[in-house]
Amino acid sequence: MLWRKGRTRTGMKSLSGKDHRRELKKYGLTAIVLWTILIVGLLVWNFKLERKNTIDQARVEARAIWTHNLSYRKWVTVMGGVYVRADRMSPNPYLKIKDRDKLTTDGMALTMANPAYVTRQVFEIIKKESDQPIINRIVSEKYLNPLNKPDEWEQKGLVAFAAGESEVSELTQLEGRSYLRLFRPMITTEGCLLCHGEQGYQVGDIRGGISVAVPMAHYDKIESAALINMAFVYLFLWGLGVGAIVFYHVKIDNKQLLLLESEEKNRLLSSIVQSSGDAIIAKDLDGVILAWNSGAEQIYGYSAEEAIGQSISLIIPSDHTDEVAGLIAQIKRGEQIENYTTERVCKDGRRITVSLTVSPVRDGEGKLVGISAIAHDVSKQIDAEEVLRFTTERLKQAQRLARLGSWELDLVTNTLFWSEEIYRIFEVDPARFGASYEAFLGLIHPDDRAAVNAAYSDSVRNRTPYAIEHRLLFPDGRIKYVLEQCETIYGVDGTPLRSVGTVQDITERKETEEKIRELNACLERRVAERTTELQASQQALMNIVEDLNEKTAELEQANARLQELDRLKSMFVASMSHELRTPLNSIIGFSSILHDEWVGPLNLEQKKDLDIVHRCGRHLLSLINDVIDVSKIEAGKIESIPEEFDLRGLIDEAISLIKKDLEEKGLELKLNVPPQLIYSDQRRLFQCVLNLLSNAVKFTEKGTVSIEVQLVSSPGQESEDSFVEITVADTGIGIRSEDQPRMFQPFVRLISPTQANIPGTGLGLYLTHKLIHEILHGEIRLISEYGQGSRFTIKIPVRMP
Amino acid sequence: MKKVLVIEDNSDNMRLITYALERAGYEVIPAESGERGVELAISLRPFFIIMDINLPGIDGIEATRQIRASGANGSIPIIAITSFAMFGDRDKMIAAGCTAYFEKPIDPLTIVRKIHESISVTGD
Repeated sequence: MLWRKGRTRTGMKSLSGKDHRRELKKYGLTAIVLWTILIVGLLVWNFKLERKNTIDQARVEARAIWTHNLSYRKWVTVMGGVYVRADRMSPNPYLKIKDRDKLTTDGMALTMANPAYVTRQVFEIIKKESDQPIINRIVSEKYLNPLNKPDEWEQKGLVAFAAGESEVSELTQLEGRSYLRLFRPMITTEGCLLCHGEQGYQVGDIRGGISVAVPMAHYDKIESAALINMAFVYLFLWGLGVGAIVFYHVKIDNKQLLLLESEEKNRLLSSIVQSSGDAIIAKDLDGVILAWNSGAEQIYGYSAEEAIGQSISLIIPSDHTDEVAGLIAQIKRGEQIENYTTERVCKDGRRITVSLTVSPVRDGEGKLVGISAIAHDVSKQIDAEEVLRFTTERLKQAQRLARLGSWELDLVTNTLFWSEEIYRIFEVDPARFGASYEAFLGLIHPDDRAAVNAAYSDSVRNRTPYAIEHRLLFPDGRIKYVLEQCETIYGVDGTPLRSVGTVQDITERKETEEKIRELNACLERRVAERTTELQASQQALMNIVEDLNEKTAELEQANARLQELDRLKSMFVASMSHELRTPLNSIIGFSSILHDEWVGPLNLEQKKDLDIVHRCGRHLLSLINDVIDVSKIEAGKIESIPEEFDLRGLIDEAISLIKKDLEEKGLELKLNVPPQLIYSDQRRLFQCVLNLLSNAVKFTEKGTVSIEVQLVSSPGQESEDSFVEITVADTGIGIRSEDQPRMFQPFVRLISPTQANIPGTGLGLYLTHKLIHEILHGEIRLISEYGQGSRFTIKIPVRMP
Repeated sequence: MKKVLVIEDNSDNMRLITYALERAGYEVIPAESGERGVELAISLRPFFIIMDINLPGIDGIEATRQIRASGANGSIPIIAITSFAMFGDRDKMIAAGCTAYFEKPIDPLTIVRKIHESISVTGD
């Protein structure tokens, strides 16, 4: 609840009068409260003090009484006890001494009253004195008389005495009244030992104690009276104090109020200055900076701590040094300085352009004490102006390039604004032309005016933008084409406010469009021409196709006929094959059986004749076979079954068939045939090899017939694709070079000068050639020299594909 | 004596083949038609059969099929004799069930040996 002196750190805390009063009251109340506490505290302390005094006084009384008590007890002790008349006091049963009771000579009984007894009796008398008596007691731990038994408090006291205490006292209630009781010890003396020696005491021991209780009643009375007086005094003092506080506070209240108000005003002004975006700087007449707001901090870059106390030249650029003096002079003269544009320099060295407003600062008497300047950073403004200029230039340029001008018609004031480009399009001098809607219409081609006007009015009425192309007619008769677009802006109530639009010179475009149209027309003409040409060609083509179709039909017919012929031929071959062979089978078969004497013995002549039959039969069969083979090959109906076999075996078999003739002619046979596995048509190859061998034997009269087999590789091929060459050579009659090309043709038979008739069908080599080339995928070559011999070489692939 | 059934319609050919077979020690049972041949094949169960393919009526291929289909004669070698081997004839013959085939003209001097070779009979 402690207060601060109204100054809070964050900006302006506004203290109105009401707030101030409240503050003040708080002070006052607090002061009063404290004063009250003080007074009350003192009062209480004082009261306590009084109380103590009172008790002390009672104690004094009690002590006095105690001493008194002890004194006459002492006397009795010194006397050794006092004998009293037995008829006044009964003997003390607790006093067990020898001489307790005595008899006088004249017969009066006397008994001893011991000190304690005496004291006690006296105590009792005192007790009876008033209703608030002083209560005395004599006690001992080793009591003889039960009445002398110490009570609780007294016992505690005795313990304390044993510990060395000489006195105990307390305020207590006895018999319903307030008492101060005091308790002191009795110390054993010599005299005590007379009667109490047998209890075991020594001199100096504590034998017990005497307690004195004095009533507090009249003490209290005195105290009360005193306290009441005291209270009044204190009350008076308190009242005095409160009065002083209140008076004081009221007095200062006003003073503070005035102060706070002016403080507040100051604070408001101060924060206005602080929050301004402009730099507000106050300086004295020497140019020393006195005040520096946050705007100045931001603009110039110097913090307040850095700037205050410095000379204003801190921010003055070197070329403006006399400026400040000049400004001050102006102010002194009483002139106002407003919107004075100048340059300043910032902490980081940048120069900025500022607009200054300078005012005088005067003291209470109106004397000039300083200058206050508000600087507005206009560099951004200047930049903005630059940008604006630049942007406007760009816009103008763009319009120029696009030949697009813009216009704006303010419908409220009926003022028309035209951009530069529109003037250029319309070829009108801006200085002499008053831009208005009517003037604009006047420049439009008469034929188009109505349309343009209608388009515009419709657009405004219907609230839709429009675009229209129209012509401009110039005084010299030229025409320009323009595209005009427009949009109208309406107010919230629907009234049209202004129309904005563009006008674009599209003359060039129009011309281009015209050119394109012409080109198109030209193209179309040409296309039409071509089309008719094409159609003619197409027609011709169609005719050709028809002809072709006819021819194809004819061909198909011919083909069908050919196929029919082919079929017939095959049938012929098949049936011929069967029909011709059947009788031959018998001829050859039976002649063979007979020749071999299966049916009976034969003589040599018979055998020879049968041999002729057999031979002729065979010849006929071979002729038939050749003819049939040829016809089959011609028809492409040869079925080839390749198999793997040893070439040597094949050659051996062929040799076995011509061996007889060879030997009969006395010819030598040379063999160079290594075993060679090949994969080919065995039957057909056999036929060819046999053909060559029999030819060789047929056409050789003397010398050798040789067969040679060689494996060759075609260059650039793997061994898989290698070939085998079978060469049959003879030393026969040879073949004339002019005959050599004809050798593989059908029905070519050589005429040998030595032999008139060389058997042969004339088909052998033809067939062999055909078989090798078409069935065995190989080739056959001939080397011969007339009169020397011939060499036939068959080359076939090792692996028939 | 082992029986050989010869199914051949041409008497000259029949005579020729009979010579060769009898010389080789076989008893020849002739059949002049395919149907007769099938009958005899089933009833006689010969050692092997020589079948001429070119037969009137049912041809040799059909006869072979029938013989094979009869079941009883599944393993008897059937040697086909044909006068020409056109396309597919070979396959047809094998498909029908022929064990081997020879083309006409057959050489009577060697035919039996060749037959033996084709049916893996040792000795002549």
